[in-house]
Amino acid sequence: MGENGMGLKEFFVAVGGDCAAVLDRLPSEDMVVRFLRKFPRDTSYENLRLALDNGDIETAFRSVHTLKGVAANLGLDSLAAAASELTEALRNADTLPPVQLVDAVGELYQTAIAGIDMLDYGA
Amino acid sequence: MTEELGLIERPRILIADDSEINREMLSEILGDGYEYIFATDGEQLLRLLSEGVAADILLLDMHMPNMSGMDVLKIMQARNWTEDLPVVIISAETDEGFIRNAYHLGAVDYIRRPFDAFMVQNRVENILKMYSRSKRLAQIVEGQVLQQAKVSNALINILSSVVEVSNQESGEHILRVQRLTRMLLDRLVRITDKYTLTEEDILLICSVSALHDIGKVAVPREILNKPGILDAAEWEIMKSHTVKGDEMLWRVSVNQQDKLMVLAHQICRHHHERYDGQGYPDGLVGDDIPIAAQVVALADVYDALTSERCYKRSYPHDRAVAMIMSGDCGSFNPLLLRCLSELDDSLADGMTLNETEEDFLDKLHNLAEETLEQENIPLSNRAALVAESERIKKEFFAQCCSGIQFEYDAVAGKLTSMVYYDGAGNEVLLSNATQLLRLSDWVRLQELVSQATPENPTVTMTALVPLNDVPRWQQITVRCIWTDERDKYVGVVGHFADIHDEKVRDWGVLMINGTKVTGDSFVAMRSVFDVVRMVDPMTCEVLSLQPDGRVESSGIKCYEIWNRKERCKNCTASRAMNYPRWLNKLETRDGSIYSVLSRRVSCQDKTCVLEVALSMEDSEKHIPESIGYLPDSAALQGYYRDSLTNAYSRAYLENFRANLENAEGVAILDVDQFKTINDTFGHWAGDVALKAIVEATRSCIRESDTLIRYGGDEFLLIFRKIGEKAFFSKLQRIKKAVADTNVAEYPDMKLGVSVGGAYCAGRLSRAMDIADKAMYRDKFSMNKG
Repeated sequence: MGENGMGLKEFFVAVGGDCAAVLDRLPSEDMVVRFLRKFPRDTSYENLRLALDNGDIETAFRSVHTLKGVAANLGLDSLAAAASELTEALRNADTLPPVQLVDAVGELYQTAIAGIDMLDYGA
Repeated sequence: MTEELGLIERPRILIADDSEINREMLSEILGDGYEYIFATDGEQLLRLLSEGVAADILLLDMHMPNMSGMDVLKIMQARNWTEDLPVVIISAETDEGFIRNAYHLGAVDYIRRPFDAFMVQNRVENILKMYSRSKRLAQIVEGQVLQQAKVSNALINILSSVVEVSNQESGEHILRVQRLTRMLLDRLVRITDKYTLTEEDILLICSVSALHDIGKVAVPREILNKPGILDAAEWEIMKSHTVKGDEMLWRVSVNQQDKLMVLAHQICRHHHERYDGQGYPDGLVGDDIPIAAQVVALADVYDALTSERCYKRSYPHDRAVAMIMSGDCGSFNPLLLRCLSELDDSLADGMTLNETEEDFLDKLHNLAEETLEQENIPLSNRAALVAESERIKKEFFAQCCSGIQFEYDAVAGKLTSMVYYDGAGNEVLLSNATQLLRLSDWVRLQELVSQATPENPTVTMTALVPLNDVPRWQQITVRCIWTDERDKYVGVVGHFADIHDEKVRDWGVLMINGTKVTGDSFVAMRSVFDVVRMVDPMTCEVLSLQPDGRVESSGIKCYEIWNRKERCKNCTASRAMNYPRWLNKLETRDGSIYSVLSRRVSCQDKTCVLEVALSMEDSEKHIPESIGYLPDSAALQGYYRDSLTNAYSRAYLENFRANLENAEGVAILDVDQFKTINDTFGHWAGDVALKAIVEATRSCIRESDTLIRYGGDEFLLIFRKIGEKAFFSKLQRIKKAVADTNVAEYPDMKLGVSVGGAYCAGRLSRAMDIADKAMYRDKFSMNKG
């Protein structure tokens, strides 16, 4: 473990998730880590920001819905919960969602990305 | 062989999800046993599907760019693609309505996010197994149907060509009757479900209608083709073609029980019956005439009118219909006449159209579809199996099936699927599916299955099965499956049908049917059920029923019997007040399971609930048949009166115990030296002695006091109301009266009773205890003294 690195358990504590539950659902720690490392390349958050900037509520809804699903699958529970709130705010909506909901998602997303970066496991 | 090769090929999973991580996670979870095809949005998916992508299952994300999963599903449904490609929805949605909507659109299952590897693997595996099997079986069924149709048609062609040879007019006639029969039947099933005709029935009736006149080969040609009117003798011979045809069919060496043959007999024999009973040969009336024969008769008459015959010219369509409607040409089922009149427009056209090969295949397809949807298919066992395998569809679409369905793979030696649906179509989790059956039931089921044969593949049994801790009676039907060659047993499919309500209710109703609630029937019921009582659901009090039919409160709460301190959560008595029928529930006591039946009854001026309970463990319990009816009072007298002494019987005590509780005076009487009496004077003397003692005792007590022969020579005496002093002096009087009794037949016999009393000792059991001890003290002192 590197000096600034985090183990998987510490990681889930840091980003707000249940390590045991994730390992219960998915076959191996190895798989969890591999997929977590794919997360920074996932485009749903980017798409969400872009859609909100463009005022495209429908795309924003779909993107945050996808983000919610991916986050949930990876065990990023806090992010999934925030994304879920935003999803509901955007579902069949006519106007942009409250900014604090968007910010909450952004903050937790950045936390998760930072955490994944510091994840010290295997390779 | 090809099937085995097919198994080596890996099933192909089509994953449609806009998130790469999700797609990769799914394929990694599902592993190397499958091939994967990916679609990243709805449009791409639709393109793949339109191109006929070879996939065995589709995992579909509902929210995708360009076209949502729901929209793709709608298109798939509209194009019937969901029939062959099972769709599993991937969704984080927890909204029931959303998921239900997807089911309605043809999805078979769903995978919730976040993914649970074990669940994802199992769902996919099970669905693939189910679909590959039902696909295969569907092909088998279609093949069999086709085969059967070919065989029937061959048989019919042979037979009808026989008719044609001897009867010039018949060739065309047969075809026209066949078509008209089809049209009438199609219309008939649309306007009524009275005759429960399936597509298979209709197809068979049409085929067999060709045989309606085969009996005419036995009619001399000069009569058949005689221009003009037949004389009476000739007419009789002509009429005999119905019976002759019927007889000919009996000589055909095929299975006479076959539906085809049954219909052929009906049509040949009865196509000249009239709805009003004036037809021949049997003069059947109305719907006693088989519907197949009724339809063919109408088609036959219509065709006779509209075509030229040697003895008459043809009538135009409108005229023929008008003649039939007016009753000039026979008497027909009004429903069929309605069908004929409604066919007016299409009839002329239809009669000239040839049934194309495509039509035939269409019908065949209908037939195969129907076969798949039905539960009991007469065609073959394998067809029935398809229906079983189609359960997913049925469950999700009909949403009305219930019970446990399971599949057991004997080759793999494991349960491959087990699903429990409640009556509302919801899947219910079973806490431990593999241990549903008690060991003894499991052994019984295995024995039954081992006795099944390819000829008799289905076995049934009933068992009490705990469904998530609630034991309920289930009818278990298991169908064993062999390979096509019938040489290898591959497994079973089975179903648990909940028959609890029927079984329990019918049992109880059978017992009590026809009886009014009186003191007598109450006693009669006691001989059948473990518990019979009246309950006031408002106060939860057990009411004691007086022999004269009045009810009185006993002070006992109805839930005490189940060791509860308050009203049962599953109280049936209060529900029974609102429904004029038997309600039931299960209760346990001392490790036994009781079925409790409740029904609202009126006892003179009071409405209360009659409750009976019987132990479910004791399914072999003897049920006296005579109790099904109102028992005659003499029999009941015998039941609660001791036949020898005419004192009340022990059964009376049990039945009316509530009524005897809290009496002021309770005494036990025990005959002295009874063994010596028997030994000295013989058993006959013993009987005489008992009678004499009862008489002596009776002479000392009032009508309202109750004397019960408690044991062989032991009596219980109950005084509801009596003063303390009077009670104990009464007991002494009884002792003296018995001692003073002389038995004429046995002058040397000395009689005596030991008596013990309990005054105001509370509950009967306690009072009896005290009295018993006192009685023994009395006996002891007497022996000493």
